[in-house]
Amino acid sequence: MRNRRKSNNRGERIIESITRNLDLPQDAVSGYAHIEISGNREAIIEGCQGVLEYGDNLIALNTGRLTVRVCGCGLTIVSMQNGQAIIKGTITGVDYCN
Amino acid sequence: MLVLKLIRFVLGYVCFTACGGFPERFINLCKNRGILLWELKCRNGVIIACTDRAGYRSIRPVAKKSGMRVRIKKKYGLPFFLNRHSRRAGVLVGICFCAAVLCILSTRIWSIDVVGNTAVSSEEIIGVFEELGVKKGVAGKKVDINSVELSALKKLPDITWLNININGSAALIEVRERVVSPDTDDDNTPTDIVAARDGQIVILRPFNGTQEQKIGNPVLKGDLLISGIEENRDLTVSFCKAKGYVVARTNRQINVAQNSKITAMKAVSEKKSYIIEFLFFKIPLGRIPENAYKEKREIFINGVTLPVSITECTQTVYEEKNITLSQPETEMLAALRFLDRCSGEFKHLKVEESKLSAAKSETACTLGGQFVCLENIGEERRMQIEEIPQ
Repeated sequence: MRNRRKSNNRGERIIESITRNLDLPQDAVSGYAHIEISGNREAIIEGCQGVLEYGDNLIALNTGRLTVRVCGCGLTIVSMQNGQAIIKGTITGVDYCN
Repeated sequence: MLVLKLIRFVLGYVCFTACGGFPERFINLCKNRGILLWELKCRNGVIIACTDRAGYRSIRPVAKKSGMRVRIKKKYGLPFFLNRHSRRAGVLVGICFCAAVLCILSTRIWSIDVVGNTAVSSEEIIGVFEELGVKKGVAGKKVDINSVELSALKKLPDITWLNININGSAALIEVRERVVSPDTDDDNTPTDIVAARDGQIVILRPFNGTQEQKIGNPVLKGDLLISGIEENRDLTVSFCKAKGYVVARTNRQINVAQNSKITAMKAVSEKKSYIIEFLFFKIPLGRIPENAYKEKREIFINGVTLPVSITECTQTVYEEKNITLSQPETEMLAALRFLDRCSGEFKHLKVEESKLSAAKSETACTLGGQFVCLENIGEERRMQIEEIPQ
């Protein structure tokens, strides 16, 4: 188990170093979510795999490696398809947690 | 987004509420089963969202699995509208009738406009085109534009070029008028220039012919000013057309007398009736008198002429009446008539001096004016020449 985790970490490190050296976007290779925020009104989150928490003031999305928590008020998921979620409302903060 | 909204409207969609249970699980299950959700809001634990018709049909098991109760808030879109009104045959007939009317009318000519004409009236040009079959209500595609243009050119001699553009339901006729070449003075009939009025010559400029008077000479009406007989060097004479202009100082007098008692036509009654025209159909609303004054009003929407017009027919009955004017009214009428005569007489001359007089009484007003004017008094007069056979 420990050996597998070690090999995974090593693989990730190699991919990260290749990505860094070749100037490739992180989200294209390493499986991170791609997040676009327009002002404090709209956030487009690509790579969304599911909803973990849904409320008027907080939306938590599973993006694989990370959990993205969008805080604010009057939050609405305008659309959620093809792994892309568009959140509208007054956004006060975006948190990441493992 | 507008296209997306339009597509959603055409396909129909449902706005629903879901409460109780686990909202997150509900959303994830919907996502996994390919049920489209949009405008997803969560207010006090109640989810408000929209989905398409097919999605709503398969949402029940998902709701059951996530422990939520789903209720329709509102149905939007064309399928629901048609379903709601499917039993109303009148609406269906109305829609079909409206579509049919639109289809038929959109191929017909609604309005005919003419541009580029000044001397030839639009009514005359439209009249010729109506004779040739281009009129309101005719199908635009059936008009043989080339032959109509050629025939119209033959019938309108003052038009050198014309073109008819049928754009949708509007026909636009563009025309170019014939430019009349200025008259060249080819007439070589020998003429003299004589005085048209009594006066004293101020300017005398002969261009052709022999000068017979001098500046400052007083002349009477009919006196010879420039002769059309020219003497050659070999003492023979030749006849020509005398040309030139002669400005003389003349006297003119204008008198206007206005009586306070006048006879005038007065409108006694006025009757209005209307005719509604739809393409070539005329629907009279009431009895239309024969000698009524007609005024046609076209109806426009955003600059587009509609095929409906309203003609207002007004019949006014006049009666001859004896009217007694007050003194100021009499004076005003006299002044108006005086000014009218002055503007007519002094159109082509210059007034040097004027002396005005007015005589007023209770029943009449007389205005008089004596004017010293400068005007061209030259007038052509044909010479009487008799040919002697040799």
